[in-house]
Amino acid sequence: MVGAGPAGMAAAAQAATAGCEVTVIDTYPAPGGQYHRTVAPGLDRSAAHPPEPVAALNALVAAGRVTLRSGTTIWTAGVDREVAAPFRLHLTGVGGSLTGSATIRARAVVLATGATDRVLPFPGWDLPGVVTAGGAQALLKGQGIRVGDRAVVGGSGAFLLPVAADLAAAGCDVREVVEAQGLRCLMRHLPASWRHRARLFEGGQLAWRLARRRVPFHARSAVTAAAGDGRVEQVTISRLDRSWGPLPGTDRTVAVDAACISFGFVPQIGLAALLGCGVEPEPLWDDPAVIVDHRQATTSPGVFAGGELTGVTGSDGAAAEGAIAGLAAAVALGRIDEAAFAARTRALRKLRAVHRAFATALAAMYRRPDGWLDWLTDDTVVCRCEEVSFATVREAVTALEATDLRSVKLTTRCGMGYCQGRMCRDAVAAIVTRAAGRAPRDTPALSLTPVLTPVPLARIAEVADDPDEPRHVSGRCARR
Amino acid sequence: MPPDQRLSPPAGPERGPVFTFLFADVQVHAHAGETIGAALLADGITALRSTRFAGRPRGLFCGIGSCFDCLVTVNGVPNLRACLTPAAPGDRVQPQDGRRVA
Repeated sequence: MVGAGPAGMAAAAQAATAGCEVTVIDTYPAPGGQYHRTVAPGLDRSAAHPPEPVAALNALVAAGRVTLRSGTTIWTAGVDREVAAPFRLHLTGVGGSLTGSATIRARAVVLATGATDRVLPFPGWDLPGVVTAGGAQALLKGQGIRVGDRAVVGGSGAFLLPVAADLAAAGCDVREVVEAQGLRCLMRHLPASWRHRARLFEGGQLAWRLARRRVPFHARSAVTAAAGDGRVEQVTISRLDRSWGPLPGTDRTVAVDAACISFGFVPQIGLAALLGCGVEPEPLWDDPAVIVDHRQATTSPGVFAGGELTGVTGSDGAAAEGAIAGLAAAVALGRIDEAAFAARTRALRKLRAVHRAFATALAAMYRRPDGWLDWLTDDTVVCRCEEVSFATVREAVTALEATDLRSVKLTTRCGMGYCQGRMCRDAVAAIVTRAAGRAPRDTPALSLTPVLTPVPLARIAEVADDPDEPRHVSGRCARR
Repeated sequence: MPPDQRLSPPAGPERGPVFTFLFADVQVHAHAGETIGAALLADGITALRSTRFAGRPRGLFCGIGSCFDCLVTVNGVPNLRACLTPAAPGDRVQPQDGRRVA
């Protein structure tokens, strides 16, 4: 299992219970993923109880049913179909040094690598103190740290509400929450059905928590600039038109020391692509997501996937998908038969359907037009890693006719930096679409890389020097 | 008086004893289990490095290890993500000046 968030934990629990030998690989120091962001190990001396899925996984680990490799990342992977355990995963410790290196082989893989915040550029977004909403919450829950004294939470999506509520409860002065979508659009599409009553109730509770603390919520508004000397000291908030373009004359500034901005979530498909899984733009947001069937099987035999990786569905949907994926892997390994699979997944398939329906309905509330491009100035940095400006990307399209993401990458360096396009993919695709008049044909391109996280050359040399490794693998690594 | 952005119990964790590490030549407070990035932020330090072309300040951004903006040098090892690297007593953490050739 790759990932110890809701989907990964559920998959591990089901597969272990079905009798599989299970290893869970997770980047973070403790399981839980982004949703059940638990306090970092060693930080909390009180006898705090972790959330139930985390406690359940810990129990399986303690009982020897699951091997948990925390603080570990897969930096590259491959498939060798001629051997019994075809999936080859190269691990490294997260610290960047040479610790934690290992190569493991698996007969089946369940991918639950989740999603990261979608970020969109605006002038000054690279200033220290401007963070993603997910980052603000990770710091709050994982480290017990407020991101600042006075914050604005903004962007778009239901996720802004719990982040703002949690920050306010933690003593941060949340000056306001700005949502780019219009209120009427939100209300019109609100999934107000009896079936979704539990989620609606949660949403109502969040709104109440914010109202009680007098945190203003402004729809059809956005942070369109950040400014400050060495760190963010103020943000500019503008009203938007229906296309998210800024309305002239509506700018106002708010003094802050933190801005927490997010526009939903983007599936992390890098590892799936290396294992041969097909990806396609998922219907809600056009983000490349891993294709799965009703058994959560990907197009690569033996590889299953669940959770946000296959399309954002929220944590309950992720847990249901992960559980089904774990059971499907158990069937593939001959641990349980089809009858047992059908019986054990009956309730899970219903849960999955309910949560997918809610996610679809929720997504209909939030659209993402490209008027935010009008927030940018020529020198706004678009690719943070390589410091590529809006003007440079635009000119690559108009003057150099780089109308697909790969040519934009080759001519401007967007996506060549450490994050390998994770932060700038959406922005670059939108700039290309507007400047070229049509969407780039290779939208996953900035997301695909054979080396998923930076590793020292010595790590690649270890793989190349290993006499058991197939030659074509080391050759490919050496060429890169 | 520098800000302290740490949550106290019961809202926050019950932290162990405080220790210090060096960031450039500044003593920074930390507790076991805290990351370097979080400890710096708690003490009000947000700029961790400057970029290599324009020399602009950068700090924590995504907070989860995806963006690679929070890179610092720890005990001589460069380009570590401050948001994922635990702080240890006596660590020597250096901000990275991107324009300077190593």
